[in-house]
Amino acid sequence: MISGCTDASAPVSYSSYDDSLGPDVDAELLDELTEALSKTRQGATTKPVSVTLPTPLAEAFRLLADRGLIDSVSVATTHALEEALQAVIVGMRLDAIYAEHPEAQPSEEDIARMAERAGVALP
Amino acid sequence: MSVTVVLDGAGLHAWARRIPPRQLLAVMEVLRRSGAGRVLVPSVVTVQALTGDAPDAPINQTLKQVDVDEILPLDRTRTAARLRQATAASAVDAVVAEAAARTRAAFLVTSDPEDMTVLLDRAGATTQVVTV
Repeated sequence: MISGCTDASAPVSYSSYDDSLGPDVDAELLDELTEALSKTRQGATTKPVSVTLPTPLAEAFRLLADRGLIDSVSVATTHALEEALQAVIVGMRLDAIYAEHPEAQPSEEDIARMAERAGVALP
Repeated sequence: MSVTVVLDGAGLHAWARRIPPRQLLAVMEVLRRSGAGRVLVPSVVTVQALTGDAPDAPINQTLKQVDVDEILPLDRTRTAARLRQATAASAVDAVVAEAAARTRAAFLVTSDPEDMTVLLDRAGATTQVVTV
């Protein structure tokens, strides 16, 4: 739970998310995703899965692997999925904060300015 | 586009807060909207960020949600040492800056923008320093 303290600068506590994440945030899902990301980064076991990719993309990555420019398609795919999962987890954390404290949400101008500073083109 | 955000000890504390600072929320929005990224914390910053006591719980929970870089080989420490030469920056700051430069991080979140800016400049990094 995000603790009941009212000090905005106080650290958040996650022992349970029940009330504090707001109505739109799935606390159990966030816990599971966080655990999955943590275990992945600690070197979890792997299992073969079948995914469907656009043929040119699959062939491009096979070519990169064949030429030793990437470790393997599996490693590259894992890396990409890990980064996508990180973005989802960050997004869920942001939604949780905004649900409880809408006033904390940065403006679109703030976000655009921050992206521009770093040369990030937002979709 | 993948966005890497590096946190030092103060950045980690800020992200663990019930309401993180608005500029940090804006940084994290950039990561979210990019659809891919890393929140990177060199493990050495936990020496400053943790106390070894109960108040560490939120920091420890936050550490599960970020990428803690636990590997610090000699070539990285040598690079950090070079960056730190003739500056007032701490060894931990130098390791954090080296990580940001090596990963081409978009943002470095810190409470010590002066030292970090010097270190990043010396590394030739374009990482944006965000103060909390």
